[in-house]
Amino acid sequence: MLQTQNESISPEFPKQLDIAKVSVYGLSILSALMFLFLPFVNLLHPSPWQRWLGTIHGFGALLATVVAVYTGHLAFPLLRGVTKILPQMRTLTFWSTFIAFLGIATGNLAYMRYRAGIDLGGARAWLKENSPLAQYVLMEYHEFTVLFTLPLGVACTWILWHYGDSILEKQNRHVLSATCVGLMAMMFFAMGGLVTGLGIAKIHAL
Amino acid sequence: MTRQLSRQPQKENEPVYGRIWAQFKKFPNGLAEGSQKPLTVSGPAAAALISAGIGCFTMMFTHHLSDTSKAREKIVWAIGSWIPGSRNPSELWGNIGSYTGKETMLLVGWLVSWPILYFLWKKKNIKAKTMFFWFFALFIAATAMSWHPLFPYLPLM
Repeated sequence: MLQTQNESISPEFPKQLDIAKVSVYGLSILSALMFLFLPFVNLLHPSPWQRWLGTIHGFGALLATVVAVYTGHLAFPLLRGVTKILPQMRTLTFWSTFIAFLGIATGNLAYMRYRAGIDLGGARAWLKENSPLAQYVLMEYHEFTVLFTLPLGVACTWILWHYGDSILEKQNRHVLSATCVGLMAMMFFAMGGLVTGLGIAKIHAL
Repeated sequence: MTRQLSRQPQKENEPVYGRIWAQFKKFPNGLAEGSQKPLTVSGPAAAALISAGIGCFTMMFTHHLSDTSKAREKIVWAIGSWIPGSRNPSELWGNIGSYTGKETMLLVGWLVSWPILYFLWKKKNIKAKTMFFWFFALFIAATAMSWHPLFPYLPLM
């Protein structure tokens, strides 16, 4: 005997929206934990410098990238005029900027050891001798472009707060567009920083 | 035929992690609400974004000056010596070196140009074309300037 679709699903079965919500939260929490676990692999590294400086800067940089990418992705619906995310965008851009600053500060700490002499195991001196393009192309790009995230984040946070809800009005369309492009640029520089940083760490540890 | 799946959010149905996330999204509350006296012209926004680009371009210009002369590198290093770790006697620990001067020049270029542009444009509407042109020009130039193969006078080997 054939059953219609409605008859085959019991009334206790959760609604599609509830399943979708649990799945989104579940996957988000698991993905975040999985990605943020990555820098803790440094704790098993034979170099004591990499064990603690690598873990601290790795965690700071990965967290900064995850938050900047989340903010950058929300810039797309904001650009399309989704009003309900505006309050979240203000706080998220602020936290993204703050965490980007922490990533930069921990980067300064790691950069000290990176510049140690070649006899003492310094990565920079070793790369210049053995793989100069890693220093002059990857590292130069890494150390400068990650700094761009700070002024971009501060500018976007300032604009999103000062223009209030009126940023979505027609006369402010170009202000909204420029701010969203700024957030996307912040996401791009954060991702570029993470990829080049991981690349350098893969060639020579601290 | 399609059915409308959206519905009004019901707080009592929200799982605990959903409620925590909803609270976190509004923290700090004063920032989430936005200004009660919003700006009405585009000049201040243009000043904020273009000054960020000026700061980044200033840093890259300083990098090119510093990397092509030992004497200029010394000056740049001296400018950045206020940052912790700029100079460090321990060779094992290393130091940040002239990079601190370049970071300082980013801050100087950015935080000096911002109030100047803000003062000049605070009551003006800046055209979208002007805002986007300078934003892209400065950030693309700054990004390209970090890439040594484009500049024969910068070291590659």
